[in-house]
Amino acid sequence: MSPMLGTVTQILGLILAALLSGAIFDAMPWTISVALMGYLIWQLYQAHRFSKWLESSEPAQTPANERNDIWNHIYRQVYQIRRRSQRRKQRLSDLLERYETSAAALPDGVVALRSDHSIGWFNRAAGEWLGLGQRDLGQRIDNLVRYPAFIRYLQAERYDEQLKLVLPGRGDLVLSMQIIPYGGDQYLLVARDISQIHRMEVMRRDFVANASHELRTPLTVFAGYLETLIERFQDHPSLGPALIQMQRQTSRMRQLIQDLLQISRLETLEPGQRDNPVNVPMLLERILSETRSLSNGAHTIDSDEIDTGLWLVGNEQDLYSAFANLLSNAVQYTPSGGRVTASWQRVNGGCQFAVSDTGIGIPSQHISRLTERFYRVDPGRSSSVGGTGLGLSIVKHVLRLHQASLSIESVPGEGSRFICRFPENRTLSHKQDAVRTSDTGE
Amino acid sequence: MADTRGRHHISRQFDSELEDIHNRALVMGGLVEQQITDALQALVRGDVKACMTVIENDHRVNALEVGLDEDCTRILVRRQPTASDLRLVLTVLKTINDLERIGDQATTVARRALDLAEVERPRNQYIEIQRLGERVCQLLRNTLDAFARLDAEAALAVTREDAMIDMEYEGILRQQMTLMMEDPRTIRRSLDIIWSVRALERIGDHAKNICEYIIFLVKGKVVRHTSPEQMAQAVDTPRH
Repeated sequence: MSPMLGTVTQILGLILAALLSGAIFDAMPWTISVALMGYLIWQLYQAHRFSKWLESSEPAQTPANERNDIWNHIYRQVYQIRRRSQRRKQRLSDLLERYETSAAALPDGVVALRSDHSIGWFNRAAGEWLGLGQRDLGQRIDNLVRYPAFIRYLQAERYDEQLKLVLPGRGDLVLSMQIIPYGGDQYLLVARDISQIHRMEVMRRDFVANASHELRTPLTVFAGYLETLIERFQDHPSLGPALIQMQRQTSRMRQLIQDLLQISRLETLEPGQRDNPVNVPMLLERILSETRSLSNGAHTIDSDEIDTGLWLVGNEQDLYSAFANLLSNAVQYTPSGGRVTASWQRVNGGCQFAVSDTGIGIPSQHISRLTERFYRVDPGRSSSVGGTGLGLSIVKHVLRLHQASLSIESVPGEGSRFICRFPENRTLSHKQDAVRTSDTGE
Repeated sequence: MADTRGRHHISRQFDSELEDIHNRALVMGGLVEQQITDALQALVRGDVKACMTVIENDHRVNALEVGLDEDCTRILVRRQPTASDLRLVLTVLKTINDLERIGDQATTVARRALDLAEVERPRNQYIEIQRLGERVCQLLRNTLDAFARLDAEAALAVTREDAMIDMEYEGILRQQMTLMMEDPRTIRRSLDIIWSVRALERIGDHAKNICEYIIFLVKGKVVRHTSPEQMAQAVDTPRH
């Protein structure tokens, strides 16, 4: 039976009873109005009971009611809705709790930041490392984590970079931090403890630097004596060639040590430490003339589209070694009669230096590993041309210090193209210079 | 900023101006903290390059102070703040003054470190200076944390901590005096050491001053030149 029908039956029964008793007592209008009034009061009472029940926070039970009327139906429906929402709430809070306990147990530190950099939530590791407490929720993080490097990182909004932060006074803790934007204008600050890795890195770097440094002195002595010996025994049939070979290898070793020292020096630097405006066109002119003398007329070395008004913010000495390395590589890996072309120009979003050659090329599987130290595509060939295997490593480090990227395109047998791209904020225009030199140059 | 002022102004702009000077005072504090830490490291390790960096960076502290000073004055003139807003502006004004002096003390330490890097290192490798210095750094960190959180209790705790620094300072002073009497050749080094620990001790005093301003800001009571008991009482009583 539907609740509608139940209610209709109730009313019909009531009217029938009123009519009947009205007929018996001969007071029809009175009995009907009393019955209707009674019905109204009862309905109001039901409504009151319902609102009371809704107010009670514990919807454990529907009031026992076996009647099949509209009220009972409402009770049942509301009861079901409340049960459903309660179960959903429970499920959500379980989920949230599970999430929070697992995030709190993470070995990494996590801080959720709002758009104004105020702290929304953080886990245990982050609280411990950064000295945050529960009362700091809603505080701006840069008010409590005040390291200038951190504040710079927070304001720079370069979220693809990571920040290495040495926390003094906290047991030499070294953190690697990264900010990840999510959900529109919120940020997640993730911190990792890299103290161990940092210590090992420092040890390795110190070792390489010290070992190279210690090797340099004995080699200098060797080289000195070899020179005198060669002067005396140059024409000796068996000693002469041996001594010359020794001298060649000694100078190669000295070059190697010099490169290693340079790499370990570059590794310790951070971008922006020793930057000055660099006149790249002039620098390139110098490097090109040096490359020509290295090639000794065996190759055509020319420049193509050198933007004479384009300067760069960076370190001249470092840029010199990077560009010179790329050009000498091109000469070394290009057979006689080949062509090496350098270019320096503005491109979308910055500027680029590129070296193209018509050399032997590099098989594609080697390209991604080229900048590793001592990585050689063809071991036999590389040592015959006399490289140290560190050139591209140096290039990579120099580019890192200039926030630049290196890309390599190559077709085996046809040639290669090495491209260094520098970001827009490092480029400088010297318009007047450009006009003057192009006038005289034409 | 944890808003103990509890209400907002009709002018949102004013709110954000007040918040901005508070934040920037803390940024300046962070820079000063870094300067002391670097100066201390430079001294203990005898690192000449680090000394030079600290000395060169001092102008950045000064520039921050000048900028903040101007902005505080501008707020005073244009907004004519009252009650807790006025206290905030005044506190920032005084705090940056002390922070700037702390920055100067850091350069003093760095300059002494330059001299000390040239002479022979003592047997204990400046361990006593390092300990004192770390205590001072911690003190300043707690001070600025209290300023960030507007936490009068924490500020009170720092003013008590300062007494420990004074004691350690005196200990080092006595030790150096004994050394000078034993061997007059060490007088030059000892004097440099005394100068630098003196600078560190002064930093503790400046931090204590800042804490007194914080109590003034939060509780509205002037606690300068009062006994520790009076100070504690001022912090305990709620503000009307």
